[in-house]
Amino acid sequence: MNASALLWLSVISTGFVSTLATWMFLNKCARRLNINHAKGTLWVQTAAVPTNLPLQELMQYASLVIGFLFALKTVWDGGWIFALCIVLAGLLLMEPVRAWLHQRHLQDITGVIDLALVCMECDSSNKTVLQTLDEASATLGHTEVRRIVSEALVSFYNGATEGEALQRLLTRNSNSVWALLIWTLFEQQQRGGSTQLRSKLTKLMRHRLELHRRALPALEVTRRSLGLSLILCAAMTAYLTISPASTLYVSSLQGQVIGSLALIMLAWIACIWSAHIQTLQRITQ
Amino acid sequence: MNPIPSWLWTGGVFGAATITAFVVLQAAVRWWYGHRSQSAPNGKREPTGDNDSMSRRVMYTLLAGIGLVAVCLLVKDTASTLLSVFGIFAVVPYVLLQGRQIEAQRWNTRTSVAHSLDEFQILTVNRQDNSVLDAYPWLEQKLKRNTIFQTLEARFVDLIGQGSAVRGNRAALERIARELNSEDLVQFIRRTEINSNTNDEREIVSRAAEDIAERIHLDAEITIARITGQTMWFWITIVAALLAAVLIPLRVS
Repeated sequence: MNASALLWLSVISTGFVSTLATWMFLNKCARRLNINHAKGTLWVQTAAVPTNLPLQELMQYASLVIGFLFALKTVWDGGWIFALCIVLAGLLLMEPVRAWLHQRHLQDITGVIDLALVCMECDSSNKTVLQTLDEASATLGHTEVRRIVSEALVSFYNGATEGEALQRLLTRNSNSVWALLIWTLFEQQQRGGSTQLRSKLTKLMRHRLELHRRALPALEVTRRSLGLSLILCAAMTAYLTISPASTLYVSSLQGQVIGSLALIMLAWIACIWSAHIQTLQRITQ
Repeated sequence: MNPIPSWLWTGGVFGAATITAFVVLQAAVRWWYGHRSQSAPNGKREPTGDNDSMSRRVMYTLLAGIGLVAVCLLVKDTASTLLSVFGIFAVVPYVLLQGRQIEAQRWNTRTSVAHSLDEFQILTVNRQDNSVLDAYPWLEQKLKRNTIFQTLEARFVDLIGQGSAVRGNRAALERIARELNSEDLVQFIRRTEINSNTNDEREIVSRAAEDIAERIHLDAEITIARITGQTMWFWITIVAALLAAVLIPLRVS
């Protein structure tokens, strides 16, 4: 294969990769663009206002920025195909970075489920809902649950009605277990303790507890795997672009293709893990 | 005058090729959408699902092309040039990733259905009335907020308003459930219509809710086990890729 054919092959392949990257980038931009808001803003005098950009929001673009930096270095060395693949990998990794950042603190609802099980064992027919929650949380001794119930009690002692205090509790803790528990306690209070209702909620809570306990370790392992794969992606890109071995990967077409394949494979696995995290997150909700 | 460096020339040609390829692709996609919307009955826009499948087809073509070129570059100096055709398998990882992303979205719906079915089971136990939910509207709002049944109800009311459905029509409900991409909901609707020996409607609904919720629960456990198993295989792949990247320069030198 002569040099001219190689050059054209390189141009066509980079064109394809770049088209793909541009397509994805524009797609991302289009999804983020709020046309109605933009139209409205254009008519307001204070169109350019300082906005608060928290660090976490900016961190989502870290992979893209790192990708551009490494790509610049590779372009400087003459590896166009590899540079474009690095940018593409950076684009692909934006979603995994976002998923990883949003999943740093696992939401453990085991405490609330335990509270519901304890509440169902208590005799709640002659007590208010808040009283039942207070006694059950004291018996359970779970720090987080105790804090949430104490906040509702403080709100009640400060003059709010029981309904208002519980409404605030549900607003601050939006998981469905709290809503189900409070609803059942109200029903129990009205009907003077229904054995059927008690056994039904206990059964539902046990099912949820079982599922949650199984999903949580898988979620934790996937989250750590994703974090490690992101670090490995950055390390591998650094190895392929700035280490002494980079001459092999940048100087020849085959080297560039092998490096690109390895990098894209890592990025692809990170993307799969990010989808798995979202699945597990929804299962544990 | 100094001659233009070769890398600059390559970059210029690449830039021109990129812009041309992108403009051609955009034009082709726009033409295709326009063609489809004109040929559609009533001149209505195509549903989102068709647009998605169209985008997917464009991506499949692009990835197959990239795969072919990549493998061609790898084997170009060898006698096995025909191996380039295997490059079209570059589509497989993309299809797998798409499958996982669709699965993640589907679990959003399934979890919502499972929670709503739990609430159904509690409701069916309270045989007398719904006085608690009537007394505390915020509680009902919290329970039903963003649930799939709210969407189902809204769409059903919409269809009744348009005259396309009548109240209590099972077929219309099933159609909406399919629009919402929820097979669980379809199954639930069908189960509630069974003419069993029990004439108690609440009992039938309660049993149907329990069965479907149990099925979702089992599927969730299977999904968790599958994800855990796949994680091991992915780690083996990562280690292989890292070792290859490190060993290839050593072997060449």
